[in-house]
Amino acid sequence: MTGQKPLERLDARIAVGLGGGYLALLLSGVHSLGYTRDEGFYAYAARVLELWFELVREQGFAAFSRVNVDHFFGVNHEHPVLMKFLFALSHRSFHERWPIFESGTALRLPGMLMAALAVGVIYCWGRETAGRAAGVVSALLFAFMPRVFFHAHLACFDVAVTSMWLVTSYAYVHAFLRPRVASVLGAGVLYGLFLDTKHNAWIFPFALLAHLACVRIFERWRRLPRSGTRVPWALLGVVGIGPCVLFLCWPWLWFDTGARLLEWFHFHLAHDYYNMEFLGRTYWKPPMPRLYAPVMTLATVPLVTLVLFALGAFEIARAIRREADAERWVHESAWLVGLGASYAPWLSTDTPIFGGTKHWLTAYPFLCLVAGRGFALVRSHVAELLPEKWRDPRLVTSGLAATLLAGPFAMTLHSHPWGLTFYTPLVGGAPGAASLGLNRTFWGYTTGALVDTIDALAPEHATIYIHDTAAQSFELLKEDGRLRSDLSGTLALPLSKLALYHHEPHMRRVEYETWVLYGTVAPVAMGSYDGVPVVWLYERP
Amino acid sequence: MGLAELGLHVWFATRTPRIDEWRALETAVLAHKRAGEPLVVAPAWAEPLAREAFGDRAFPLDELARADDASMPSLLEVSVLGARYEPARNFRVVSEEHVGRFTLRRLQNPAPVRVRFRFLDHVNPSDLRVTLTRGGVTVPCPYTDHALPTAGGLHGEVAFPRARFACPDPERTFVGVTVIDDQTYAPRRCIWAAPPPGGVLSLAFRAVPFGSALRGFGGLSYFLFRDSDAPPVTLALASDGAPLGSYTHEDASGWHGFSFSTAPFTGQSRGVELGVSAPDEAPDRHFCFALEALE
Repeated sequence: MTGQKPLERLDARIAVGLGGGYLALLLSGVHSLGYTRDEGFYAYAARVLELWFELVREQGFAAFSRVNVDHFFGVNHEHPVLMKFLFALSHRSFHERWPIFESGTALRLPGMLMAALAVGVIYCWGRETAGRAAGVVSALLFAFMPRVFFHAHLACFDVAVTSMWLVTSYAYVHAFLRPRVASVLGAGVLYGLFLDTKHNAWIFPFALLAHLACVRIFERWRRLPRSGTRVPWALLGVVGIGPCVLFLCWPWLWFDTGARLLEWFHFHLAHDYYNMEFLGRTYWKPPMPRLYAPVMTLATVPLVTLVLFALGAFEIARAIRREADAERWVHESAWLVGLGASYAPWLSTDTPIFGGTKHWLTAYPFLCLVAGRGFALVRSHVAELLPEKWRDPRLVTSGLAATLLAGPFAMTLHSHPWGLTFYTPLVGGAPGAASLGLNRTFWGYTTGALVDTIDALAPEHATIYIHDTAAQSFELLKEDGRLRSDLSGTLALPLSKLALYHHEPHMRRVEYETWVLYGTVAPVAMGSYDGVPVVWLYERP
Repeated sequence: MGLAELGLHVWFATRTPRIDEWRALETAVLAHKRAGEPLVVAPAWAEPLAREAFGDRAFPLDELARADDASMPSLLEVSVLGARYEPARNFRVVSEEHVGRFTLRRLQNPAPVRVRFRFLDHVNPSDLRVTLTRGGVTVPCPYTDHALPTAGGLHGEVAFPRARFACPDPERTFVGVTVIDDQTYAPRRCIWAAPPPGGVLSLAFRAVPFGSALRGFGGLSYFLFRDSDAPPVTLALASDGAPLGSYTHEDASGWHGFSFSTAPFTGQSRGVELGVSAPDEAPDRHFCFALEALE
């Protein structure tokens, strides 16, 4: 029968502890991380929504008229509104009303909470399927993926959609196995919120169909009784209720629904191609390299995590052949399908790669859950190898976990606040990646590393050329007091006194423009990570 | 395995010199640096650290954004992590010195191209006269060193310098020295000479010491024109009215070399006339070039 163990009260406490601890860790370092381009755009959209909150308070239902919806929800309408709504709510509550956090941190808080939620849910799912230690290890392997840690700080959608995919999958599997009204409704509502987070959710129903096929094929092969009901109510709940919830929660869709949905689909299915460096070549148009996703995963996820994943996958494959546990397969096939579906778009050479590893962050919780299985396998074998007197299960488990997690933990802490510059030892760290021609940075967030120098060098009321930093992100730095309030950001190099340059090969011409206009090739300050230059500053002589 | 990965992480994270170590190397580098001998950094990604640490004296723009290495008799290499400056792998190492975590090498070109005259050094009113011919009318493009410098950012024009031979219009029709990005996004210092629609931009250099050949490179910002299939730009060369040849530049070819024999004029000092043009229907043509008279 099944090896799944229901959660206990202690597990809830552990999940909250892991999630809470992760949130505290994220908050402790958030001030040193500059603002990415997209955060600037989403922060602006959130500010507009804050104005809409005022309108709701003042005018009630009139705030929901087409004119107002178009005006307040039209900003950044290529992305659904859930996270922007939460950014606005958090900013209004924890910065405006109760000034607990600086402006940017209040905007980022919902994203960090979503990351903490993912950590807690990974623990719960890992605990149910592979035991408490495996659950903890899975959760921490996820928390201590350096790229996840970077994105977990941001007021963006990537970790949020990662969390929503995980949470919805978790709820779905339970609703699939025990389809009660509440569980089916819950899975459907969660999918609606998942859709309202980011368009990665479009893939989810196809993943569930693949999951259903995996489960039924396994049951037939092993001649097992059917899991769940003949009618897959959970799946019907997801595809039936989810879109309704999306519609209800995203007022932009209330008017011209068909046209706006088509516009949403078209924006992402025919997205612009931005530049991305990979193995010494800048890609800006198809065909994109098929090796991009696997190589970048190998280059940025700690090797110990990948090896545990490989062992976990081996263990799952072995269980498929040897064990007749349908319920276990329902869980684990959801992991494998989630993993595969998250990477699937990058099998096409037409899929853009400009966002680097963030594109497939949704795969990582599942990768870590499988790695938790790998940990359980290693633990059982290590215990067998030890002399009898050292086989204290707690000692073996904690010693092994500490040994395996030390690397990811240290690398993750060391990566901050240079998350996009971090690479694992497999490619020689950041210097090795630079030599291989892997992207060093994008999104202009590393301005945060030079704020003190800018403050010190800039004359009063100076204009700073901000290069790849969005104007709204520059303003957030000023609002937080990290930059002097008298300074102005500009994209007009001739008007500037100081000029930033965020390195990407295709942007080098911007640096050459600075050489010609400023009459110098020598930066006055350098932001570097492990000896690799990332962002630098020029001063007009 | 976890601990091994941690150990490797620490090793990789600490093995590259930090900016303070680069700054401490400044004295040694400047002591070795010779005028006209470009400083190169290996691996290439470390070069910005060197520029910050050693300053403009170590990296004159004409050396940093040179047309290529062929005409450089020698290079001074600053190397870390055991890297080498790959474009000069065939150069001979004539000296090598280890300073901390750095290696300074003098690299000698086994067969340098000898240059008598670099046109880039003569974009001034004493040596050059610029005119624009359009619709049968020729107007002068006077020199100014007080033009409004501009730069278009990532998606706009390259930097337009303060000093230039400015033609009446449009703004990009001028002759002056700027820097463009080649097909590897590396810097190339060059003479901007964008042909106006339906016109010919003429550059007349005085007293060029002729040798065996004229060697040049044409290009435009690769980032801006890497997808372009616009009509090509033609650079016609002549000397005191005698045609030497012409070079036609396709946008997507990046920084591209050409040469013309001038053997019959070896030893003479002659004028060189350059005409830059594009087909009439091409409204937005950019062009930048470097040219040298070889021994």
